[in-house]
Amino acid sequence: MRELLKTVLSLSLSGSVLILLLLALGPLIQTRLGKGWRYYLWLVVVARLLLPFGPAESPVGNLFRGGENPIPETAATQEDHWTVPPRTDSLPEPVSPSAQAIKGEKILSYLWVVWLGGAAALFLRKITVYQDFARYIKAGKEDVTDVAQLDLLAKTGEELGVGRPVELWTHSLISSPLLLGLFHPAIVLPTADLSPADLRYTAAHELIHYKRKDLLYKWVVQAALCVHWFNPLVWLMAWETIRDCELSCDEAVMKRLTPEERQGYGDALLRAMGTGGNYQSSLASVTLAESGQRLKERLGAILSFRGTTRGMAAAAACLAAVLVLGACAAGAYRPGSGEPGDPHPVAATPVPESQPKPVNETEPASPAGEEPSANEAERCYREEDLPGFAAAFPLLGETEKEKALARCYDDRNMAYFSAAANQLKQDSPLVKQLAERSYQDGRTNFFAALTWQMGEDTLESWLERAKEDSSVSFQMTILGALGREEEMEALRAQLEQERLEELRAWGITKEGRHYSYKGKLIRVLVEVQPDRFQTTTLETNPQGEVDIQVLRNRDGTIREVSEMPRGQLDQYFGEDKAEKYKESVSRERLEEYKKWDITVEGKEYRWNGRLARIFLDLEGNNSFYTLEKNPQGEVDIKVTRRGDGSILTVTEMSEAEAAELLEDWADPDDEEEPEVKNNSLEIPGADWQTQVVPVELETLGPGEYAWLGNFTLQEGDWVSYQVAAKTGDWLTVGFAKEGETAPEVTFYTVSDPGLQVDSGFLIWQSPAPPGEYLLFVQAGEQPLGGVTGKVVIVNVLETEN
Amino acid sequence: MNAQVSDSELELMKIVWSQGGTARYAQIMEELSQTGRTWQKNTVITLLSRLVEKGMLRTSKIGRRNEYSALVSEEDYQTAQTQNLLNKLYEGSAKGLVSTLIQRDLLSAEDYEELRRFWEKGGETR
Repeated sequence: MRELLKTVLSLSLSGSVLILLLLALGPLIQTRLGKGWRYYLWLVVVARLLLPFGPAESPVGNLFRGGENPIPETAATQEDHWTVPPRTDSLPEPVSPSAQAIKGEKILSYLWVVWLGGAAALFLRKITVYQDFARYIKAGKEDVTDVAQLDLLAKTGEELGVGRPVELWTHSLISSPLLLGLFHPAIVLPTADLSPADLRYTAAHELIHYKRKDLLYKWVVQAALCVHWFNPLVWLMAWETIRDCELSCDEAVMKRLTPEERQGYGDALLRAMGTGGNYQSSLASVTLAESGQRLKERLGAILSFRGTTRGMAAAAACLAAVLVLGACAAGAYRPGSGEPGDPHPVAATPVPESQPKPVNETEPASPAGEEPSANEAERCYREEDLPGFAAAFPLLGETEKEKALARCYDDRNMAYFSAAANQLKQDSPLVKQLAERSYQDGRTNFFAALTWQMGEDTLESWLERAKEDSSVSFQMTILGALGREEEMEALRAQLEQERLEELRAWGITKEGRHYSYKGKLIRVLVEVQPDRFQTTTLETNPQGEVDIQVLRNRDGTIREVSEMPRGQLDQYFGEDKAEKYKESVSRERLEEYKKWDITVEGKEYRWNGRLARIFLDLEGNNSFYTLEKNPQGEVDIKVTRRGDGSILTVTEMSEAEAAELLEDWADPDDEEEPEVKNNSLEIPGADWQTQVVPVELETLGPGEYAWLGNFTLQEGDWVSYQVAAKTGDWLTVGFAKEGETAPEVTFYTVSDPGLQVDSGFLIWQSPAPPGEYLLFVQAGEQPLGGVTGKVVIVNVLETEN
Repeated sequence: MNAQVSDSELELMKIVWSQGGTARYAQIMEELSQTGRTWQKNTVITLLSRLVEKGMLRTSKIGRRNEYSALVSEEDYQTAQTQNLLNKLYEGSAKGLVSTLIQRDLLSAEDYEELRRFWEKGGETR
């Protein structure tokens, strides 16, 4: 490694000589030969800076080799060969390593670490800046759809010999037109509102950049800069190359323009500078104009442009050759070769005290002092100011962020954790660390919050790991993040199987939709497990006799199954419910809501930013719903879905609707309904009255109705049909108003095909109004035989206070 | 199918649809010239690749030539755009659209008759 550093230093030295040469000759070349020549000559310098070529013996090589004696004790030879090369005799002299020598050695080993660190850091930063910029542009760009403009670009491309299709975009926040991408080029304009002439000039300029692969050139120069970051002359050179790049590009364009057009070109440049925002990055793009000063230069060049004569071309070629030879002659240090010849006492190259301008890059806005941000975030956290916390978080330093997230994690504060985690960089070490922790702790919900910041590969490897550990809950979470619906379904089915088996072992069986415990029908079944993504599962069957709770351990296995006394139900629907409810609104639902401008925070639903006073989400077949009330809200929202479950529309409720709802569900305790699954019904705080109507018919003629009684149906009632026949083609069960059989005035379900009707539904905003109905069973086109079953009607009685 | 398709892109989609949902680049250029358009070839290539990115087309190589197949049928596209229109302008209710069509005389008498017949037939199968 030391050898590498020596090589680099030697190259830097040679390169510096050449840089100074070109800088000095610059004005001379350009007035005679035009601006373009020096642009390519710089490449020779870059080659010199990056490639250790040269004769075995050369001034610079010997300079660096000067201190070496062919004694194994290389330690002694490393010191002080920077200044004046020590005199060596042709006969080796044994030199014992002095303290000085060892110190020198130590310094050198630190030096190369410093150099390498600097080079790597600089290079990485350039890459990330480029990637961020490219991503930013691609995210905010708009396609140019005007075919006339696209055609103009295509034609200009053809004229210039660019065969590839080049994309054309606009982006409102860039400062001037630029070219993006080496392999899939795109020209990005600040605005498409420009005349065809201006577009042609802009396109021509950028296309020339593309044709000459100027972006590649820029990166090569940057590579040299990274390696020689300690050498200010190299920085100066980098700056000069950018300048020369634009000037030579202008020249190339103007070669193809008539004198009148050239004036227009200059005008176009000026106009380009006038529009647009301030975001630019010269690493990602080749821009039309990079500073006012340079612009003046370029305009001047345009005005004084003269074509190249053959004489000039010849002179330029000679100069290039000289430079190349000089580069070689200056040489480089190549480790391990040659004997020490007579060292030429080369005086150290005087390093001019120039003020090199650094490469034009966007500097990220420096964050406000770290102290104030940390306090700000702390305050917002304590005062439960979530938006404030979210705003303050990105300003924290890395360790502070770590602490903040750890605190959210320990406090089990999902909302804050989520808000903070969302602002971490994808796959950053902090994300990895927290993911590891939540995985170990089995907290799928926190893990899920982090999956937004994980790349696909990371998710895949987590999936592998979760599979190895047989951790189904994490597999589900990760599959959800990857959007792999089918696998999730399969897993869900498998999970359900296992769950049922385990329940069976504890005495709970499931038949159809109903659960029984030791033979007795369960009315309310609650499963509680800490930290799972869905904390509570709840099944209810108003006909049941017992209320059962299933408590699970952290790892998911059942710890205890027991009967609950009636009062205990309040525990789950008391103050804790907010916490559990927060975690039970599923990820898919949140995503879906996001698309419709609905955001959920704990109990609060917002639509377009406005807090909802009533939030109602109905399923297509009216069998279950989410209803949320927040007296501080301003707007009443209703979500209507199609039969397949997808959202049809989100609308504001009319005053009448809202009033009705408020009346129906008026409850001083302001209880909420947690989300319900699977056709099970949750009726808050109300009492119900069940009517069971047995059905037993030996036969029923084709199309014939059997009337089974008169019932009053109201909104909020719940009906369940469980009727089957032994023979026939199909049957219909339903309610109809006396004398009417049209669909709008009945509630009915048809078993088609098949001979079994097994469904339940809630009477809620159905097409038919509540009222008195006759229950019927009707046969299809064939006679029915052996009809048995029951119809259950649950009338909801209002709570008495 | 959420990205918006520009007018020129829609023209190309129509060409692909008219060719049975699959067309080679050469065919597309041919059809274009027949409609009197003189678009540059690189322009067409750019528009086609935008459609591919938006998920409207899929491209495959047949030998050395590119073949484009529609991933979205014309009917599906029409449905989605109509749904969009309904949601944006009529709060998801087709009733509003239909009454606009009728009140503003956007339906011809024949259209109306046809619709009525269609509706009656449809009513029976409820």
